[in-house]
Amino acid sequence: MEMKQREENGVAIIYPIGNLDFNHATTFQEDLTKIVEGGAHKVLIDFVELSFISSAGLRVLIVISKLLQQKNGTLALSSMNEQIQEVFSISGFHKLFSIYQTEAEALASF
Amino acid sequence: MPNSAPDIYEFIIHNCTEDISAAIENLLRFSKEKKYSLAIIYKLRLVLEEILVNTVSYSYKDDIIHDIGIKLQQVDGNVILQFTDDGIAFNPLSIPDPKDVPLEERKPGGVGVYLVKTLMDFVDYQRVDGKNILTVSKKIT
Repeated sequence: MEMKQREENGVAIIYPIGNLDFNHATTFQEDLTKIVEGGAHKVLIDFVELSFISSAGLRVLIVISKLLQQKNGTLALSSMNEQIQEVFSISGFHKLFSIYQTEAEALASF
Repeated sequence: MPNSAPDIYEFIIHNCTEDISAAIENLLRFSKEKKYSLAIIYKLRLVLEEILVNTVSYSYKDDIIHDIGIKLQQVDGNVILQFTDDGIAFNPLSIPDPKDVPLEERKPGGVGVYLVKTLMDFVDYQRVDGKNILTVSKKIT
């Protein structure tokens, strides 16, 4: 899955692009796992360029969240569009993650 | 000016993930012709993906290629999606809502079914002549 990445103040910021659906979930999980296993334990996934997420994408976020917990790491999410917010809210997944309106707010939380 | 886009799209896919992508493309084309809002298109796309991923992943106990019939239809102010497959009998309405299951232990298929039930206005399941027929509909706002 296409994504951008940068680092700020020791936080790895990931920007998935397009659709985090059944078709892209596996590669996204592999890429994120590599980043975490490579030593990034403060991770922010910013959804500013993400249009769509399905339950396959939610599952990846759970896997990465658990992986970070094992490493005493932290995961934050930010910049969800209205529809993605609704999916998190309906599924109850919003209770599982630290979710911020903006990337700046999320960064300040680390 | 009246919307002259066809009110029905009917097609068949096979039980493979590549064909789910083709079904999504068809849904997006249908939705664009019908000028549905982004919010409606998101819900329809999500529901289509969740249903087809479950069918392709869990419905077949053999390695044979199976047909899955898909009908996209607008009737009055509602968009109706209908899925017909010859897999094992599976009534998604029988799956308990995952609200009672700890979040971390929720199965992805269960979350998908819950999203379908919650995002659609109407969900109906029937088993007819050895086939699962799942119909969902959403009011166009």
